[in-house]
Amino acid sequence: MRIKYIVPYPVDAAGLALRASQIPATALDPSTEVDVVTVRNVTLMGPRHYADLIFDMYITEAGLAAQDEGYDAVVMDTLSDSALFALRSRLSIPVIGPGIVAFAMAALLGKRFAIITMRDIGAEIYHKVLSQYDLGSKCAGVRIVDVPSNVTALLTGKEHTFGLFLEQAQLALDEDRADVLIVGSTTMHQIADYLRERLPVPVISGGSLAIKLAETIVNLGLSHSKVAFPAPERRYDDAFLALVGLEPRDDHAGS
Amino acid sequence: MRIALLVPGTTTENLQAVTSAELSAQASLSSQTVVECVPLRTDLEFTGSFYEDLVLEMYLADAGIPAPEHGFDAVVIDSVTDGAMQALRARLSIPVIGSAQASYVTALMLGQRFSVVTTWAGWNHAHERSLASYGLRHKCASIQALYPRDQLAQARAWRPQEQPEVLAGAISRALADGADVIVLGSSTMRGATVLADTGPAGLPVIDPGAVALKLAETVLSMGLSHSKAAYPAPKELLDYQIFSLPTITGASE
Repeated sequence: MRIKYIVPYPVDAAGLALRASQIPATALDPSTEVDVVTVRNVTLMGPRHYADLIFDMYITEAGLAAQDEGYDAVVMDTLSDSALFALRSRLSIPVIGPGIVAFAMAALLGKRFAIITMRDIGAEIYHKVLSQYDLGSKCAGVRIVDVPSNVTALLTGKEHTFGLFLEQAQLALDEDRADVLIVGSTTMHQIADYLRERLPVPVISGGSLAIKLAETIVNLGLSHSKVAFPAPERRYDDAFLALVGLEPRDDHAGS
Repeated sequence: MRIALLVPGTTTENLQAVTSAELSAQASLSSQTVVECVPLRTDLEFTGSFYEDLVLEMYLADAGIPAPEHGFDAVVIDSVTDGAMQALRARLSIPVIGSAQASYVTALMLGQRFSVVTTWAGWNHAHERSLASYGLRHKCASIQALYPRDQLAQARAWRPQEQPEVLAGAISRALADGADVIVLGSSTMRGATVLADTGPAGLPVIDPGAVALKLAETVLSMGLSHSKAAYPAPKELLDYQIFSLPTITGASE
């Protein structure tokens, strides 16, 4: 089985390796291959709605050809599940988002989950995603750690701040009465093991869990619903492929 | 890994009815995963009331509690009542997965609104209760039954391969209700997913038995289990009270 894992930032090789370290190798079948690829252009963190559209555009472009390339599933490396709806409409192979996987699996393991996130990601993104799935009632709260995020280095070099994450996570359990903790961004995945060793509740890291669930869903012969996500009447793939990249495309002139 | 499967109606007398190999194939499990049916001390299989649900629940707990001592890594409850799931989650630390809840959360991952299709309307109440208790009723478009309450005999005699049109009718009613994913709502519908093409192309049809086993394997492989904050361990173990239940057979007819 081949899974395409799309990183929503054009990170360098070192950054890509940090993202790829989310692949839960010991949990996957030895025959499952995960290819970690990046989008072709960058967007900034920060005020959402405008940046959301840019995310959607480039992640969609990176996923368009997945079925033709022989992949069995597509996963985007972001809890915002950006481009999930468009790609589910365009593709028949499972398109799996870390956001919905984290929320659904949290609903399986507990009753109310809390999300822990970082200063410049903020809480609004989760309100958007939880509303999109109508699962806001399952969320006990969003706790923000006063540490800036970094889409390339992730939490590397910030190990001294891990105590701040633990502090907020503990508050989520004690004050928000959460019984499952979701790590709020795939850019924070390195905190998951640290929290797991110190907290008495399941700690969910959306990226790695979404890769595993993609394998599970393919194994079960399932995919997302084409009734919920109908195929387009007409394709506009060329519009996506023509989008300007940081680097010129070597395989497409942007026709 | 070893998964204990609790199947209502499976007793020491008829334990061989469902084999591990068949179950593994249906749920596409890893070759490393072994499923073993654990017999119940009652042959109660068909419940149509909250009273029978409770009786089944007591015997499911009775069979599930010793699972860790017997070397099992997870417990799967092959009943869409999810009977004893919450009690066993409190009592045990190994993952306990109920087939209704596993199916609902899988439906969340695949679409926007699911419908549950049961064989008999008398089983709908269990889903109503579970959906409400999991806080997921609003994600469910409807619960459709193949047969109404006064047709239990027809429901029990239903065989998917022989009467696919009955399932197709229920699926089209569910679609009209706004569903985009179908959860088969009775464990006795095992195998009915082969009839998925009775609905429109690309409509996921979820087999609760298979999905529960596969999600148990998935949860275990990721080193996860249910939250003990959500299901705190009992302060005092009263297993002896549950174990004092008599063994009953021939009572459910």
